[in-house]
Amino acid sequence: MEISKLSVRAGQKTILDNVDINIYRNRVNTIVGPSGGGKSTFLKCLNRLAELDRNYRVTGEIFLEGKNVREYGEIELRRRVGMVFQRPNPFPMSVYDNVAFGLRLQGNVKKDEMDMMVSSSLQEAGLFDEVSDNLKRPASTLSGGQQQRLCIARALILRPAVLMLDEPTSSLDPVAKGKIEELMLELKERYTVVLVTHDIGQARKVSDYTSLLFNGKIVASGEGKDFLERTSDDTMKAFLGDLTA
Amino acid sequence: MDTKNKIFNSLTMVMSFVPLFILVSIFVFVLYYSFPAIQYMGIRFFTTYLWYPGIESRPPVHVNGVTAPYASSYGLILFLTGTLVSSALAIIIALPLSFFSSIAVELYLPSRMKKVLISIIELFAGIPSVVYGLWGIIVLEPVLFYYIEPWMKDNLSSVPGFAGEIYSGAGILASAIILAIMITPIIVSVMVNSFDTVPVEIKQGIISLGATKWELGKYLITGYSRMSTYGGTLLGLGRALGETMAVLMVSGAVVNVLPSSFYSAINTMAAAVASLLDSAFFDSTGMSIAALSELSLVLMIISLTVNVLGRRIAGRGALRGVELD
Repeated sequence: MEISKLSVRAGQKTILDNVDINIYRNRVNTIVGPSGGGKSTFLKCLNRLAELDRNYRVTGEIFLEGKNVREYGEIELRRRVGMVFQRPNPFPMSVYDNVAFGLRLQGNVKKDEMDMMVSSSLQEAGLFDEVSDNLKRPASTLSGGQQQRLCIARALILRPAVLMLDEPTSSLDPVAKGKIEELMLELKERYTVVLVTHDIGQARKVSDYTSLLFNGKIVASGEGKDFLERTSDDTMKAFLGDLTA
Repeated sequence: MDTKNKIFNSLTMVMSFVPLFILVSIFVFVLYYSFPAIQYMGIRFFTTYLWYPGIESRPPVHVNGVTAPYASSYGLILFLTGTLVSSALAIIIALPLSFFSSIAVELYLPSRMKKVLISIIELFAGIPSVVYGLWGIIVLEPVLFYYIEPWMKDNLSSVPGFAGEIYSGAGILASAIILAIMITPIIVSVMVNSFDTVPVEIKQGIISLGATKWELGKYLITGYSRMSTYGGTLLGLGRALGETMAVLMVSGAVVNVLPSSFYSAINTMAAAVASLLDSAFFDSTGMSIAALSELSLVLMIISLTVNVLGRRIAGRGALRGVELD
């Protein structure tokens, strides 16, 4: 994906200011930055979720596989660009129905085909072994980490080109968090991952390409896991210093 | 100060029981006044549709220790049928209307228009039902009589209930439509309220999986907020069951003739109590009053049950959003 001159305004307030970023295929692309810096809004622009808020004015161009996202229908775009939210948001239904939800929206899928898609998505999300004994159990009986991986499976069943993760581990314990971080490294083999986090340690572990979003502006970006350490950018240093102090 | 406080405390204690006391005393008195009719009619009250004040010129009869006019009969079947059929039909008409309008209000309108529309919807509840009834007589009945019912008869007569004579616009259809208009705002307001309790994460999660607004609304109604859908429907039903004036004005207020089609005139339990009460006072044995009391008692039990169920279920629906994960 290429994002060029992306700005979002809500009334007088500028949430994103002329953001230019490339999202690289089969990489973990990470946006780091302090809370309230516009990271979530950035993600919501990529699948045009931001437009649903009538207060937001979105300008600039976003391209997915060479095509402007405005040329995709909203529905088609959201199927191509999956999203996982900060707080696990399983729907109040069974594990199976949660994962099948997106596919069912597309219309009739044969039962055996659906079964296969659900299991393979759960496998990709690293959850299959933990839930395969009973896929009919309510999603709310899973632990927080399992719920989050369920949400990942739910997004993956649509075989998106891009998977966006909005601070996916911020509400999880360290073990659950570690599992999701490992999962990201596996997922990038098949998907393009966009990760938003305020957790520098996480960025160090999983990121291939990192950008720092600060007050709505991209103030630094670069390749490599140690980009964060190598940077000479003052803003980045201040942010890192803030977090490590 | 301390005595003042004590007085105040005991006063609030007493006052808080007033509503319960009123409810119980209404129930007890209605039950008390029903006794002669319960004695006289027994189970036949629930099995006959004949409601006949009897022949005054003949001496009254004595049955089971109570006195009733000669040849009098009191049965709720006709009124119960009218109440149930008109209310059920009203729900059938009101539900799709409520679904579409609650989805439109919640998902398609800008938030400022949403607020305006919700207050308009809530205003509907304040319109006196006699106004609905008057509108029903001067607008709805002629339209039904001259246009809609003849069309239905011509085109739907193979469907049970749609063949039959059309005598006037008053009857089951008119009552059901009036009731549907009266209860739609109730259902819409319960549903819109429940949509507001759905966490934004759930709504965004569904949209981000490629659902249209329509699909989101459909899922909320039939899935996430379905308890509120049931609850709202029951509250609407409760209102429909007990509605008196508007239905009395457009039902045809028939006695002793069971309806044969949707065009037939009917009567409901509530409307019958209101319309028959006047003449009942002329019954020197008091049995007519007793019979109307028994009718009120049954109506009260049915609509209290429906309302309590509706409230409990709608309340549970609202809680679901909070309880999630």
